[in-house]
Amino acid sequence: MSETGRHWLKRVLRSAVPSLVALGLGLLVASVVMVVFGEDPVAIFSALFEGALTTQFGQSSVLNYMYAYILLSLAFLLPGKAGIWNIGGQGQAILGGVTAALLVEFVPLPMVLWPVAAMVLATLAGAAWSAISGLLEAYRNASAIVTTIMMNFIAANLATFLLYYVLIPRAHVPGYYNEVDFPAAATLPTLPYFTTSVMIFIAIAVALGTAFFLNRTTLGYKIRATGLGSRPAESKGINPRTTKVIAMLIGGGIAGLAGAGAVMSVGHGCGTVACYQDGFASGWFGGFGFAGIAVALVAVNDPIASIFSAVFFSILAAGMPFAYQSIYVVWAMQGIIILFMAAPQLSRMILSFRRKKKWT
Amino acid sequence: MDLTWLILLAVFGLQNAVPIGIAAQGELVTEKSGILNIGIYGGMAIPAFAAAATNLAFGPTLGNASPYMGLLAAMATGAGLNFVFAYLSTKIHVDQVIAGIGINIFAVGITAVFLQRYYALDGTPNGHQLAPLFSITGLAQNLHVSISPLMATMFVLPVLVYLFLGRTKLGLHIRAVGENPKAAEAAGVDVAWVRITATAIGGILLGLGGAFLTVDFNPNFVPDYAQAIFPAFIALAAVIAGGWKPPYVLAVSILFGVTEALRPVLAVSSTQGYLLTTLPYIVTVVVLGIASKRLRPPAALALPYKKE
Repeated sequence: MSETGRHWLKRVLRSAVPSLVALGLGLLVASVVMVVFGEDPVAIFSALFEGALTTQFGQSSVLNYMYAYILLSLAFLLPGKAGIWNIGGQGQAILGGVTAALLVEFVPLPMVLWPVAAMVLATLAGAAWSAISGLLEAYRNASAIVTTIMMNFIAANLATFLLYYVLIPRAHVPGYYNEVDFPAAATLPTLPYFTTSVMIFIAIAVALGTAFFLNRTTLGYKIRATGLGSRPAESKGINPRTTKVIAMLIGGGIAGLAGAGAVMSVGHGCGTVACYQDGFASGWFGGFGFAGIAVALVAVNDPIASIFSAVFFSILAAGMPFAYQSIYVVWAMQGIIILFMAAPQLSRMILSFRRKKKWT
Repeated sequence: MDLTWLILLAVFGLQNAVPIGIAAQGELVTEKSGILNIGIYGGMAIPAFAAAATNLAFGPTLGNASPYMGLLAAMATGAGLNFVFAYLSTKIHVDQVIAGIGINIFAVGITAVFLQRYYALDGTPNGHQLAPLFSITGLAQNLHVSISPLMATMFVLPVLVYLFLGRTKLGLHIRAVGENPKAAEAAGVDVAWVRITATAIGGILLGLGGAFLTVDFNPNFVPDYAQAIFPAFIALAAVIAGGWKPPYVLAVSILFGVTEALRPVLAVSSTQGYLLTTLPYIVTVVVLGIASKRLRPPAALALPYKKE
């Protein structure tokens, strides 16, 4: 390996240390809770990993969680690079999902055009939804932290209204109270062996594209410069307001795409609109949108690292049903991991016990 | 003209407003110190669970007094949880927003873990219900209105919060660190500890608001994913729409409570009801959009402060 290559590898490994410590602490705290409850964490975690990694159902489930986690972590981290908080990935995804469903049910298109148009429209819907918060932050000084949270609730209620008022009367699956029939021609192709769609490839491509966009394009540079501060960005001739809005639009678009994926993947377990409810509306903080924030934090806001971080969280989420009847333990763990991740001093403190060095 | 529906709207609206109004005053105290507590959902849900569990545990021995143990447990849990949150975000320099999100996700998970372990995943059994202060009959036919002690608390709180923030030394310090932490520090105020104290006080009220839902309105804890609605973010919205002023925050909380009551009282279909439920959030976004320049949030809200 070349000198620069070794240097690069060293840097990557060093930057991964806080994330690994946070993940380790999350697992540790969860194990302690299990021991307190009189359960065997070793048995639980081995059942979890075995289920997620060796069964066909588990593997497919990992991939299904993964694409949503990757896309929603990007929806959080890309606006974050411009210094704007997008906590609204959940709402943008829900809105993207319902938009895709509306197009499919009301505008039949020939062949490939159908799913492609639905995904494009979902992306635009997610972007438009996030634009409201972006514009309010940039031009009206209203914190996106608050408005994106509010927009989440508005999106969820609007989407549920559209589901019951528009979609179900149009194409109801008899026997299921909230499922909408989805034509096979409009769904995404399924992978061989796995019961999952090609969304995982789209998600990885978007992650790689985001990395390229941020590091190698002018707009990406402008976004990163804005994130370092509005005044320094202005001195470089960048308009921080428009840049923030654009970053928010792209983030919202990516979230919208994730929502379309949830609706249009037959492999998700159902080829119905109920899917967008499954993944996105089941308990506010158990939804994909908030898991995406955890994924992005563990990835230290790096788009490529978010792929790996998503692998970890997907295995946890997909494997939990094999160990427990529910995935709620994962949510508790996600919360703890987020706290540890956000506390660089905590990780440093723990590391410094070993090094016996004063932490700063 | 039959005005029964108007009376019903007022009664149900006020009832809905209690958790919003109490929690919003708590969030207000916290925000006045410059801390934006996004973890407000966790700050209500975990104490609400603690209240239900304590109520159930003391039920056999204390009988009708056990709900009060629940309220105490909720206030203590809320203060403790918010203390941890504030300690992390001031002393350990965890980002406030991220810590808040972490606490919210943690809340959903940990309450579910406890539910699954000790009760049932979709909720606890019923305990004793908090006894009402007094009851009103004769407003309308067959209508029997119980006024909860917590409803009285909701009306008294804004006055107390107003006096606390305006007339006490600690209140002055809270406002000072929320407006200009640097100047406060120069004047000898310990910014971090004042913020921690304000957040813990806020936590007491968040807990009390949450407990209303689990020992009073319903005497059991039903988690969010099983269709309980913890109006935590409506409380957050009420603080903003009320312009960070205690009496206005109460007025907005009652308005939001009445909005929630529109659906059952006017017998709007559940489908259209989804749009009504959204109204408080829409109002807040619109208020922020129109009046953000005229609203006066604490100048240092959500800004971390590092001692030099």
